[in-house]
Amino acid sequence: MESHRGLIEALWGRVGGQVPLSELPESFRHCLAEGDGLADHYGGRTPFLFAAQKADRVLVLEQHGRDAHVSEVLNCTGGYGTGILGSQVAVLEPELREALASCATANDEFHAVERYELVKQLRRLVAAQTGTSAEDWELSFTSSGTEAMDLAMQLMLLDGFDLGTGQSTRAHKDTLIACHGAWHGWGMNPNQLLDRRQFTEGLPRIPQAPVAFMRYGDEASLREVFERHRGRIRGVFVEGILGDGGVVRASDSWWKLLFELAAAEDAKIVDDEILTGFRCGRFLAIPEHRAPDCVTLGKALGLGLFPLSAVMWRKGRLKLRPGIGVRTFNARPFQARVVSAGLAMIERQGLFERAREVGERVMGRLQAVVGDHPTVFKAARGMGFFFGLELAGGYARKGHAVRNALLRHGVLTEVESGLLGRQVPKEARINETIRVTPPLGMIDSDLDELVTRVARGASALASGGPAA
Amino acid sequence: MTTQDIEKKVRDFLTDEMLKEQAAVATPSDPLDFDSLEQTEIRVYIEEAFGADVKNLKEPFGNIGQIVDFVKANRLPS
Repeated sequence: MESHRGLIEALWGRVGGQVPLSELPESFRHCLAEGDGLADHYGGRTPFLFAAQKADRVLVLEQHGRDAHVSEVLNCTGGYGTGILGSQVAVLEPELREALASCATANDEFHAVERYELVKQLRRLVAAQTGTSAEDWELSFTSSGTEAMDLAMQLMLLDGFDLGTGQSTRAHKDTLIACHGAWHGWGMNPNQLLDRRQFTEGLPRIPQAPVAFMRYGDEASLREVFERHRGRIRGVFVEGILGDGGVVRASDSWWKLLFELAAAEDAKIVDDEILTGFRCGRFLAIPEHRAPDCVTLGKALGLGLFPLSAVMWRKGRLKLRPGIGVRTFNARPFQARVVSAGLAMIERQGLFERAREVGERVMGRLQAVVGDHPTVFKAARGMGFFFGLELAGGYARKGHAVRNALLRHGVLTEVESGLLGRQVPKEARINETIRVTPPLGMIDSDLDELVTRVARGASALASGGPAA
Repeated sequence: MTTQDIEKKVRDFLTDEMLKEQAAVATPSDPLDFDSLEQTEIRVYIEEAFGADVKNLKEPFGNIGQIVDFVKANRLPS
């Protein structure tokens, strides 16, 4: 591929201005006009072309007639929430180089000390968070978050099944519980756990494993679903924070009740932390000293460098069917070495603690922005470095337009679908929500700038300005 | 239920529930740009609210009049 280094440097110098399309290479012009050829871009074809990244700022172009507008935006998504270290991931360059040189393509044909170290780290982290012992946990690695949820669901469905006899001791427990508005991935198994018809219509349900839905964080709904399916509940799938449903936290008392009801029912709990893991001011978003039977990790686990996910489960509570954990990419030594170094960096630099403290300050400022722009935003929620800005009524379904407006004001965010369907009563509905997930290492001045830019974008939207 | 009743319910759904502001003032034949998510919601709604048999749907909806006509022609006997 042709190097565009000179052009990119020139474009950085023209941020805020325009460049005639005729001065751009054909590949740039094509991407601006027609896209890059990927069939299904985020929310439809985005009008922006990525040009380069420097620190936590991204250079983007947008076609305006015969020119391209050049903007610099703060990267507050890290690529669908994967780039947990942001630009600080560059510190791992020596590890990457060393891993390439020493273990580029080895996989799990062998035991590997690199994987051993990563497994040890993750066991220690999950034990510390859940108040259990590291030895209580087993884990297997997968690639994507969807794949992790697929494996977690298989663990759940195979729970009690004896391969020797072909019989299940838990056959009477056929019902799974999930949450309205939850997102667990596009795979056919995780898809069973979704209730929004735009994701499920046309795809078959598994008749032997019906899924009942409850409202996340709502104690009455939780009690009702357990009461309605008493004796038949095999397991509960729940996110540490309801993510795509609108960045909603559940109270400690809701979690307490969930664990009590699940224990009484002998139902297992899968805590999906794929989106929330590492970014909420601690390892997992679930309250401390609550020990689910299974935890899934993804996104941030690969540090934004490659897809890596994991399924962790408590020994004696769930069991891996032989062979089911084998993957072509199963935390290869190359990946394990780099991720291990990244996790060590998070701990060494106290990035969880920082996300807690600084996150609270940023949240306060975002709440002030929400208060100043009630026609654009309805509420700010979240935890650590995971922020959600629920849109006000007039923008309830215009998340992508708001995201584009924020991009034009210099901040890259994402859109959560909220909970707008008729499966929940009107008063429980949640408008589309802007998700802001800055990397844990984002410097203070950039975090301040992030709030300033969100406020600027909101002002433009409120006044119906041209960039809105 | 009269055609007017069905139209009013559909219009209220589009404006109040789907937040499709233009549905409040659109004529039955004015094109309303429903995306695939909105088409899904309309199908769910007419199934639930009118008992319409959506298996007979051949084309996506483009305006209020098409929704009303479909409901009238495809209501299952209660």
